[in-house]
Amino acid sequence: MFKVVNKRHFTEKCFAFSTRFSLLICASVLLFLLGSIAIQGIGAISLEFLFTPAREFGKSGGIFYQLFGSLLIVLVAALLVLPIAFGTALFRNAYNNNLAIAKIMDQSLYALNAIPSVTYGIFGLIFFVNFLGTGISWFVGSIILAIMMLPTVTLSTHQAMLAIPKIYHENAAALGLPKKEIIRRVTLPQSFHGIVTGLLISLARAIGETAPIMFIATAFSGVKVPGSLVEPVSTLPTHILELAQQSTDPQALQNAWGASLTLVTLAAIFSGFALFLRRRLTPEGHS
Amino acid sequence: MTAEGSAPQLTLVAGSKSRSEASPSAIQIEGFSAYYGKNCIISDLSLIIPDKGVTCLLGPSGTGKSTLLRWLNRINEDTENASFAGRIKILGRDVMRDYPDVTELRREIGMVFQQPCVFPCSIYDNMLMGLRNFKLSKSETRNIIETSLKQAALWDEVANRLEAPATSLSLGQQQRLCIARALALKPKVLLFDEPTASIDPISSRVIEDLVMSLSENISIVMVTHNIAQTKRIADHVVFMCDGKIVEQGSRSHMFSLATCDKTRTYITEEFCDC
Repeated sequence: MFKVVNKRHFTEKCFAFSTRFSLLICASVLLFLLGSIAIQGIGAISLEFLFTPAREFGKSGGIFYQLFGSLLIVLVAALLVLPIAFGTALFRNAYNNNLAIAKIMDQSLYALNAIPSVTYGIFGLIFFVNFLGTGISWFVGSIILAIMMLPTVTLSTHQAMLAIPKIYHENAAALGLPKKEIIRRVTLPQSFHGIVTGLLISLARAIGETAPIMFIATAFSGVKVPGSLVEPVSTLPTHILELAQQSTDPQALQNAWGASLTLVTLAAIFSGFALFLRRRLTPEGHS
Repeated sequence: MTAEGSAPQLTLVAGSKSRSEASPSAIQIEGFSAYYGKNCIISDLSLIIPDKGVTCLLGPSGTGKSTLLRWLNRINEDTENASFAGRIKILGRDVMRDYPDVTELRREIGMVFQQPCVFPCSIYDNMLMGLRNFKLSKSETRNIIETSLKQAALWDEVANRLEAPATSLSLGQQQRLCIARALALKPKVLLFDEPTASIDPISSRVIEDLVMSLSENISIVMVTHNIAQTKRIADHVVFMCDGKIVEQGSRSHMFSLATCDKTRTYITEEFCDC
């Protein structure tokens, strides 16, 4: 009897230890990565670095236009993806009664989420740049990033809508509210946290993407604030890539670390803001 | 009160007929069968629910009482795989054919659910929820809200905190707010699906008193498992078992002169072997 209890305790302790060990490995990798970037990059960070343009292919100067380009592309992508993702999630939850269509939609969104980002870039290059003849354009980059963000934002919105207790819809319907009013008064306010969270998390991912926009939206140097939709911009990821290729130069390497730290900080701000808003906006009764 | 444009009209005074003037039936159900997918829950049920007063649908769980109730205002239409056959007439109008716009039916046939469900906004905004489709002035809206909250015996408790979150109310108060919200639309019939099942006994008694006072002017149909409650408030009792009506009649008939063994067993032992 005692042997059985001891064996069970030992197994439980082993299991608990293995979960802690997994957490330790995970946290160590993250801390090592962030720590390296912070230690190496902090020396480059200054207001001058953030707000002056790059010179000598990034070896000197700052990252102003890269920062501007990155934010421009992802924020416009967010504006493009928001109504489409909300509309798709709304159709999936409020209007579609066909189980087969729902399954196809879910599978497509998960599949879309699993597509390597470079594939989106190739699609953008073939369809927009070559077929439609847009040339290298920051706006095409935003469109491609919006397509890439679509599954995350849609699934997050869908999950938030799914989590609204059915009783809210029934109570609203019992008060004689038409469907569009139920969506406006119940579905939208109660799923808003899901939309915002999905959007910010996908923004955090999108701002660090290099491959999808490298061929279609960015130029490595010589670009400023674009004057039209069909001009290229420079972005932080492509700038880091360019500087990394000059890693034998200590000044270029220092700026690469500085740009990396800025990029990681931006991603952390989006993720942190997503967590903050999720806590603030999640209505009572939702988890 | 006036309504402009194509907005639905709303009158301040709900059905004002006295019991003696009342039309004989509020709801007529003929050959009604309800299904979830291919599963038949209620088969070929016919029932006449009298105008005004409280009609309790009594019976054990899973006998189709709530399903029947949920078809009276077609709220079950939004439930996956739910369907019905037969005819339901409310105050002479067929709920399917005469109400092409289901929202009109739902404004006339109010419903209060088992679980108090207030929207995560202020008490005032909760009251406003159903009124938004009517073009009412601010004073008219406020007047209706005050009247409805008084009818629901909640006004004294919330008058000075209408902007407070509705979720800050107790469960009993929340349920009365749900009733007030439904009353604001001046319904002709009110459906209650076990309205006291999830609240404490004291709040239950407040709601029972409220239901009885409302039944002077409104036809009330209430689903309940609670035999003592049925004894206290019902004017008319319909005992259902296995998707069928076993027996129905006035409260005095059902509790002292019930002819069916199943009814007597259920009323005395709260048990049914159907």
